Amino acid sequence: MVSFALNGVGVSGGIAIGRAQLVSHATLEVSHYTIPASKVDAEILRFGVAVKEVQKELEGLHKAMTGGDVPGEFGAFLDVHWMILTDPILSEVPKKIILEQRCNAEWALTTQLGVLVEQFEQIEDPYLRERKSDIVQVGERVLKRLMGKPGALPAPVAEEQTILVAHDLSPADVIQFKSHHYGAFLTDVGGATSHTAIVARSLNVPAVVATHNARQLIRDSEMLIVDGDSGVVIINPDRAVLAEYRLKQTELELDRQKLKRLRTKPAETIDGHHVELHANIELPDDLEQTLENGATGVGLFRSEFLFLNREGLPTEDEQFEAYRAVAEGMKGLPVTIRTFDLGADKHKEGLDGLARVTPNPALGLRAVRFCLAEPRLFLTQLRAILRASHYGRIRILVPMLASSSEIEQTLAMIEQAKEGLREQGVPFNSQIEVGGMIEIPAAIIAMDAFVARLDFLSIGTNDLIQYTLAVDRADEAVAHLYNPLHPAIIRLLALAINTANKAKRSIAVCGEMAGEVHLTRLLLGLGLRNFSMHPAHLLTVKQRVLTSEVLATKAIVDRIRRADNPDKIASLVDRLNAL
Amino acid sequence: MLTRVVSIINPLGLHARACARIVNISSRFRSNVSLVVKGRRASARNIVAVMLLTASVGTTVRLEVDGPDEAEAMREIAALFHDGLGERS
Repeated sequence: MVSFALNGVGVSGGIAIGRAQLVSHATLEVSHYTIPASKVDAEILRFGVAVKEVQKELEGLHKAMTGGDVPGEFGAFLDVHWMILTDPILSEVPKKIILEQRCNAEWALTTQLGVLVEQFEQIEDPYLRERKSDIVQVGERVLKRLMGKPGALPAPVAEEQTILVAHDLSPADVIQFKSHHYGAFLTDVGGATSHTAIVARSLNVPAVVATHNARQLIRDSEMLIVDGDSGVVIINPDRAVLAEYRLKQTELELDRQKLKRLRTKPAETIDGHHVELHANIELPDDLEQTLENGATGVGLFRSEFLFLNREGLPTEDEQFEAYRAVAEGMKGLPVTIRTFDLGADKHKEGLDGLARVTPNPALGLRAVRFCLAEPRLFLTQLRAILRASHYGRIRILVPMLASSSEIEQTLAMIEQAKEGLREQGVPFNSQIEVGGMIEIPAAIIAMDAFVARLDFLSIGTNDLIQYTLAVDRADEAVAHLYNPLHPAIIRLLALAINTANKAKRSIAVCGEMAGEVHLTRLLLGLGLRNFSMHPAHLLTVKQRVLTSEVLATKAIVDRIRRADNPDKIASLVDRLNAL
Repeated sequence: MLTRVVSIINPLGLHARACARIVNISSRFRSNVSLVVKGRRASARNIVAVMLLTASVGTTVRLEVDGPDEAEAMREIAALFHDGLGERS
């Protein structure tokens, strides 16, 4: 038995160890033959019967689920498949094809599936395009009936964990996971938004998709390790590898249990410093993950999603609805909405200011500069945010401010938006807090203008590092020069946090540094008490906060502030983490 | 016949489950319900046609309802869109 590894896309985390169970599915070989005129009616009938049988099969599955503790997704997926099956485009058009082409039912259905898939292939939106798999899965169910291979998944073999290896899985297949307790899913195709992925995550079962040819390379009942975090599958692991992953599996499980218990625990250091842990979100849908991980607020709601997959500009009402949904969803916790961070590199139709080529977009007309140059767009967004502020604790965060005049102009625009709403009698929070992103070195060096005029501050470390070190991280030739531990970055952070704390203005870090657990103690030691990060990092960082003592970090952090090279700083950070 | 323009506010647009909700509600009425997006028309009874409209968030949709119970049908379907197709948190 040769040991080897496959790479795919990990779409649901965790480690599973078990025996492979192959499910042959999909890409069924369909033959094509001509039906004599006298048999055409019978062929049409045969097709109709197969559709009816699959319809009953789906209804049966639906019934079997009610009452059980099945995640809500399952029922919805089945409904979708039932509707697709009964849509005349799938249940009637093939009959016409049989009649017109005098072909067998399987061929007629495959032909019609091909037509539909082609139409889906032309869709630009990747999420909507992938929905073609729903059509294909329903079609294949009917095909299998026609070919006399009605398909329920085989039951898992022994008491060992079983890992399902398939070309693709349909929601109806996945339902049987509930009673069969498979250890993991492995599929040749699929993506992060496929049913397999969504359902695997809801069941908390590891899944690796897009392995391309796992089903050809893996044989039945071979031993497999599935690492859903890294997307790696190891086939026939040797004893040492197996032991290593068993250990890793146990550790992960323990960690997960421990972290989960921290959800409602307030984030406080050993010496009693309270820390706010907020979430960075991109879509209103991210709220669920935010609350599950115990965030005490949204520290950065990127509003650019409103521009995705659309032509033209989002209207005030659309924006209002989206902001209100998040404000209400957070139930009184603060929601910090960052105004549009658009720029020449993110060209949008209908925005004349952007329809020109700029040699250096990062230093060009973007973020607040762009908003101030397009006052109509900016005012629309400000009005929408203000209107939503009536429904929750919304704060406004303005990106890329560099000077006092920009702050004054922005505040004047907000005043203008408020005035308009007042005249129309539209309710809003007139005390709404306005903050600024600190991401340009100039903003820190001359920060007195910021603390005097703004209610709060948030450091965007990604841009701050790019601007301070003059390194574009996306440029491979210089990416290695991008270093959060450069002495200049540490000193700028220290200066910013000190200035804000002295002026009694709250200051957060919302860049990637906030979510990196090995930097948590450094930031605490520099005086930071407000972190905003991707929700997935919240509990890990909270755990580190709970085991940190700010007082004890002082001596090492002082040395870090004086250190003159990144390697020295990195080794001092290691010592902080070893405390 | 009644017509009304609504917009898609749920972030994922007209994806499969959202389409299912539209088909579900439309089939409760005797009136014919059509959705028109960028000049393309789909009967709200046919889920595949609705899926192929591929309307993302922010797209405007013209609803056309024709039949004996058109007023009530329009009210319910427009409410569904206003509600983010059942996905507003």
